[in-house]
Amino acid sequence: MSFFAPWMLLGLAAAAAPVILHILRRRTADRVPWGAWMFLADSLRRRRRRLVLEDVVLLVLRTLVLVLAAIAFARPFLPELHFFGGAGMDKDVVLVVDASASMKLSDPSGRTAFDRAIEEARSLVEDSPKGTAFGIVVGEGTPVILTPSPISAKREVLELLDSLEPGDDAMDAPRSLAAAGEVLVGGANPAKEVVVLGDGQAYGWRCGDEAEWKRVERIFARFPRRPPVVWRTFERPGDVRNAAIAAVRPSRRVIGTDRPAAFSVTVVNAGSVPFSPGDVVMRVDGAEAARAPVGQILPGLARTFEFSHAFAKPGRHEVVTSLDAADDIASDSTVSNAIDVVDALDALLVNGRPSARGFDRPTAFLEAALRPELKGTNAVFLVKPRTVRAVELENPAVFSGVEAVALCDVPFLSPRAVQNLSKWVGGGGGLVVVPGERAQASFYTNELFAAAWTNWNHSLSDVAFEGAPVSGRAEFDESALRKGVDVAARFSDGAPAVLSAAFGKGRTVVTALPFDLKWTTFPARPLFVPFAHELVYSVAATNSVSAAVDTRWRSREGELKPLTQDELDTLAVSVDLGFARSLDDLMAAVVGRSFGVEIWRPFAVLALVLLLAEMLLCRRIDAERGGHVPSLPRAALRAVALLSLLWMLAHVSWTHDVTRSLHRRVAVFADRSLSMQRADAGAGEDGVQATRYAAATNIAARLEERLLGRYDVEPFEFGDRTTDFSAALELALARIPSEELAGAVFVTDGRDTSDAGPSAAARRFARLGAKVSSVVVGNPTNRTDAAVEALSVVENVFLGDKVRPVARIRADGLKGRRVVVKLMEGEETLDRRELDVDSDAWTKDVRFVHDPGGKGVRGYRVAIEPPEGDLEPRNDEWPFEVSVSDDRTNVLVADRRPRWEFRYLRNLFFARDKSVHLQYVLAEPDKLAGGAPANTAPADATRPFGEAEAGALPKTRDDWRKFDVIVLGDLGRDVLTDEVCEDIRYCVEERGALLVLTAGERHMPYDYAAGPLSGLLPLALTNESGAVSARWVAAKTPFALTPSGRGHPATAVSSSPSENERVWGSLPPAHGRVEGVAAKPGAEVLLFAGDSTALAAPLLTVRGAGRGKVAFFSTDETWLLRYRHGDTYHHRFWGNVLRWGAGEKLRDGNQRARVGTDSLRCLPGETVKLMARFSDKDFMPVAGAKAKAEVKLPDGSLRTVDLVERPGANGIYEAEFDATEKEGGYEATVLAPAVEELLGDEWPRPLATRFAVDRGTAPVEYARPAADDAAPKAMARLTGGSVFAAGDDLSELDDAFGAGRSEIVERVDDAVWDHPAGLVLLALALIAVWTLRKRRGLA
Amino acid sequence: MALPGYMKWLPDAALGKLARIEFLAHGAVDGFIAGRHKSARKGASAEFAEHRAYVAGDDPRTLDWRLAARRQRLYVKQYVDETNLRATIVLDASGSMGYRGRAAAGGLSKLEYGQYVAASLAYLLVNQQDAVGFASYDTAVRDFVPAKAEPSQVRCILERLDALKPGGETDMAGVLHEIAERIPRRSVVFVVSDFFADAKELLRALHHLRFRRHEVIAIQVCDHDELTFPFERACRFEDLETRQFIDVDARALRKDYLARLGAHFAELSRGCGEMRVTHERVDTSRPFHEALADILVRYRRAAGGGR
Repeated sequence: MSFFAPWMLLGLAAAAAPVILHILRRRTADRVPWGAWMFLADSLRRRRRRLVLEDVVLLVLRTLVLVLAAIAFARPFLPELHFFGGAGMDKDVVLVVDASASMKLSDPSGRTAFDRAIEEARSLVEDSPKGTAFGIVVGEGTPVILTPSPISAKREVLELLDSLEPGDDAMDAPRSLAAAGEVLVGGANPAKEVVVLGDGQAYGWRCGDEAEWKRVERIFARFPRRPPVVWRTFERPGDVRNAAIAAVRPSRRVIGTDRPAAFSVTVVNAGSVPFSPGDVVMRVDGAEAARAPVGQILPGLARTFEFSHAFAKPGRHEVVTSLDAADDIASDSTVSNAIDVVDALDALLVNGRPSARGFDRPTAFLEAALRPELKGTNAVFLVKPRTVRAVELENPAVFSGVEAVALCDVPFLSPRAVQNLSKWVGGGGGLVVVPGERAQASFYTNELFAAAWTNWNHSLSDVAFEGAPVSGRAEFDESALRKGVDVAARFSDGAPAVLSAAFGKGRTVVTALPFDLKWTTFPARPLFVPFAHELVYSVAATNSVSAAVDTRWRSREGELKPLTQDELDTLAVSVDLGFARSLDDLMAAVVGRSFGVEIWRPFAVLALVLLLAEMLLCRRIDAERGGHVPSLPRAALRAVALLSLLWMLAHVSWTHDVTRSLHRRVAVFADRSLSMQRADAGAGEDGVQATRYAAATNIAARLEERLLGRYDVEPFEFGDRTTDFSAALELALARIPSEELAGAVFVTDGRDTSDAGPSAAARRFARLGAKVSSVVVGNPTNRTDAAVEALSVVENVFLGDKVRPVARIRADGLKGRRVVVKLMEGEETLDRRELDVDSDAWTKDVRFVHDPGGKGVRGYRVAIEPPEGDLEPRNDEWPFEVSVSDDRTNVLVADRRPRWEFRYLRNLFFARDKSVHLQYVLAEPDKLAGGAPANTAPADATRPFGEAEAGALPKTRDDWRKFDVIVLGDLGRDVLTDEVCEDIRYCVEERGALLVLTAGERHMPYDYAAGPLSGLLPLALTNESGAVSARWVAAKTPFALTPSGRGHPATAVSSSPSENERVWGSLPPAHGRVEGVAAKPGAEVLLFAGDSTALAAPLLTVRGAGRGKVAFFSTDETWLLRYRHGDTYHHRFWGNVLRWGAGEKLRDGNQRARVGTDSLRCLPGETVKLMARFSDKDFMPVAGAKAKAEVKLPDGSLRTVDLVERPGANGIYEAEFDATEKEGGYEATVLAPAVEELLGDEWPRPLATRFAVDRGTAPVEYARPAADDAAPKAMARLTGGSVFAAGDDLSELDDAFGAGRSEIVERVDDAVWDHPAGLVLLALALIAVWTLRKRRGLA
Repeated sequence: MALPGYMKWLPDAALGKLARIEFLAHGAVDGFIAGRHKSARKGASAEFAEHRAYVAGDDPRTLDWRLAARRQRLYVKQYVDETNLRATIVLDASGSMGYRGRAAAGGLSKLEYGQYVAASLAYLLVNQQDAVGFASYDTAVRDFVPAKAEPSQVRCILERLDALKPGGETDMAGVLHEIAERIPRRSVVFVVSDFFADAKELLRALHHLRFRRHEVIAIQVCDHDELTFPFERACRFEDLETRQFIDVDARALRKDYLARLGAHFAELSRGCGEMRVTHERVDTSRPFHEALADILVRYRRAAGGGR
């Protein structure tokens, strides 16, 4: 027997009342000293048995009444019994009505699927038995709950059904089911069921979204029995005519008023029949700008149209692209974009070869191409070129207002010019480097642009660039390209023609084509003019397309694919899914299905009978004893008790409307970062000197008062260590329900010092219609100040390597003076530089090199000697720690051919980070005629560092197991023989290594459907019949994170979840992937192809295998992470994969036992993760060691923490240590007697590591003392907010966030018949009656 | 001058009431001096009593010659002799007499009520030149004061009464047998008790008194609660004699209790009637002097109104 409301069983406690009353009655009996004892004793002797019997019977009756009533209120049911023809239990049924756009499709009779869904829902409601309660959820992209809990009033349900209309979105099935589950939670009936009325379209069910379905599973698991989901699918009409606009892309980043902008519009036939949708029309600011007939498109195919439009005015323009298609789904036929148009683009052409003759100058053709003098025309050109000499670049002012710089045959630049140029490009500028006969390759390679062109080739034949013959060009050594450099264009022979790379926030392009006529006629060809323009546009700092509407969701709504059997099988794990193909099926599934028998009614009836019996017995006893005196209070209480039971038996419920008042909330953030401790004039009100923080809290308090009149205000403080707007916004998103979030106001000095930047989080605000405004406090102007503005250093260096910090020194208002910069360790000066400051806004990167010597943590700082009048002393030094460790990760990378994936991985691991010891093997290496013979030594982790290339895979199992990470590419069975695979399996499962498999076109993974490696694969490669179904598909493959991937450490390339999502989403699509695979049970899909479902097209699948882990990439283009970002994300991602698979680097100890912490420094009170790793003499992880760490605090006291083995990790033990408030050095010593005994002499004595706890100076916060409104403005621009200065009138904010209050009317059905109050009333009334009787001396 | 403490047993109100009453014994009693009561001996009074056959030694002056002439046999003519009264007041001081009911007049316990009755009787009798003795008992005879007609006898009895406290369990029948033996001459015996004992044993003891030719007046002192059992709630009844207790819903036992009490009273009344013992029941809710006056008035009427 189960209970629907088991908490009601607490009412059983009331059953003790009769016993307690009985005992109390005995205790409170009147004491009567009695003389006529003999008569009393005689009477008692005669009547004792009867009296006892009466007492016992009454006691039992009263106890039973309360027990039975409590059980009845707890709603018992027998889940496995099926009485009364299957209608034994009242049900809560939630109707999820698919209101997606595809439900508007009509059948030949003209009825839409939505109409049929409503009709059948009505039938179901009307024919359901009394007691069935219905809830309604409208299935859209964001499901709408019409009834917070199921209601039993049929008329109300039918009214709600009649009010529904289909939308233009797709139904998000898991979220709709989760909403249905939430509605069921509020239901009063024990039996629960969900009915989905939809068109059977797979899209929207998100089969691969494991996290969403897990959530549904969790919600459904709240019920004693998992509610079944009945999916009533309406047959789709045979023919669906649907055309959709899949994408609208402008041809370039910069759109100006000078020339028409080209737009590429992709129209797809998302229907099932060939279809001619009419015209595709582009409207700019409401006026038709272009139109083209689409013609017939076959199902599944797309057609692209090129439109152009000349924007007459600069500024923002709305571009609406639509189809004149009278198709079945109209909502995907229109797309809106917002375009920012600029009216000028300043370009600086640097002439490296002055000449008196115009076209001898290398800038001449470029200048002419960018701004041709077309006599007799009114042509307007966006680019405004200006030619300068190289020496002029030494003046930073020359860059003012410039969007692009072209270095044309510049031999080299002075260091000052290089510095200015670097700073400008790093800050977002665009640089074009054009070769020439004077340009010194060594300068560009070493100083400006590593690995640029290497030599000239003058006599090329049959080589062309975009169809234009090339007679001479610079050549690049492609194999030695710096990381992050992409080949943007190639010559006809495949050699790179244009290289492109990101540099800071800016972009750099190097061409192999000179722009003069000395070696080539290219500048004289018509192609040159557009080429020159596109080159400049591609690097220019502006970006016109600021707000494009994502159309992918809606366009796929038109795909009417049903769920596959595999997908259904996957869903069956999370929900009990059944299908109804007709109304009869539906009725049978809902009305005819029983979930057992509810038996509260017999309990309630029995309680009623026993209560009546008790009343009669009392009356009889009273009459017999002559004590029956009618009492109104007692009669009234009896009546209450009886009515409570009768009320329950009457099964009364109350349907009514509840108005929920919605108070919109504004988050007010006061910045409390360290920079806010600065006191500068103007920070306070009325210009009074005050700390910025004091001013900010003051303003925040006033703001709260202002806003409270209209909104609810949520005050926050943010910026414990850095000013991180993104984290603050995400905190508000997490704390405030989205429907209540009206906006946010920051009171801050403005400078964002986080890694992520606020844009991604601000866009989330914008999507919710919530504005982000800011009040910027502090003085915005820089005064005399020298600072260490930034520091770049590798925190973990390998033993023997050098520490190479690069400090950016800034000096404002110190022109003509000298700044002294020092690298110090403790009080010892290790290096000293004197730098002349030659401008008022001067910055310079200073590089230091220091050999740290032995292992351990070294504390350094870069400090400047503060010049006279220095404004901010706290930014005069930048302390940092460097951990010198000999913990090395042995990585083996093997592939068949040097694919890009292989090359980038090799470059990533090779010599960049000495803590990674790389061995790489190519089964088919490039062979150079006449070149040196390839190294044929097998891969071996003991080879000297730097000897990375190997000619063969490791020979023996012993050699294999020395590798921590094995990366295998597209290798066939001829290389990975069964013996080798067995060794690899051993390494992974027994030794705990990480195996990374990268798919290829030929072998991996298709050759490994059987054999030792197949067991390690996280993917199943065969179909039901056992045939290998995995195949390589050359298809554009956008990257998308699965919900698991969003929270997985391997795929976290940014600390901000929004930014992480954005980075993966913004990658260009890969060119191929493996399909026909399915994740094995226990495997986790982290990335999938965004144009498919996660289950159908996983891109990164991981799983644990024995002690080790396996990751499988279904594509071989993770290097796309470098696109536009250099190697930042690529390096971070692979670092994550290595850390996740092979464990963190632990800085102290030896090969067998190591110890380390997750950070070298933390704030007081923060948690430090202590980690230790043990491996035995065979490199096998040691399991089950009882280890602990003794942490010595700065005051000499000791604290011991137990190290717990991390599940699934290869021998890593960890503990969380809560740092105390005591600042200083901490030392953790690991004690593991069993491991010590096992390792003997190899146990490092002591096995200890150090870390520091201090409040830190967080120098980045002090780097720029001036207030900066750039980040607040960016947030305001993205969300429609405003930015104010501290002294501004803030009354504008009073109603800046829209309405402060709104009301929602919800219809609820309260099952009052089994309300706990009923049981309480019953128990209280009875206890009161009995108490009164006892007080009257009655039985 | 303050009165002695024992004088509390003779309140003014009672004395005023009883002063107008005269006690006359029903039958003949032996006395010391000539008084208002008939003597058990035939004597020289003017009131003819009976004739009896002449026996040798009789005073020839008492011969009734007329009768001798009619019957041809000698008869002696006897006259009723008048004497003073000898009375003994026997007071039950057992535990059960300690019950003090809620409705009792003046809040008296049954023993206190009996003490007032005994004191009043002693005063009344001594005041009319009768001899009064006193006995009290619980498990055994506690006090025994032989009858005397001296005025100081009242003080003596009052002092004994004043010292009296409720005792333990009573063996009323046995104690009455003993008292019957200890009263030397034929006299009036007032037994003041609740008579909550086995009726048969009790009647046997009273019969013993009657056998000794005492005139017995049984005054049964009952509390109003004992007669009506007015309790409504659960009560813990404690036996005043044995200290046993029972927890019981009083109402559950009332009917049965009253029935048993009634039966006991009926048997007692019947037995007393058969052996010509005057049985008077008093309810402590009535003032004792009123109840005593009623008893005495009824007794006098039953005795023929006296002379």
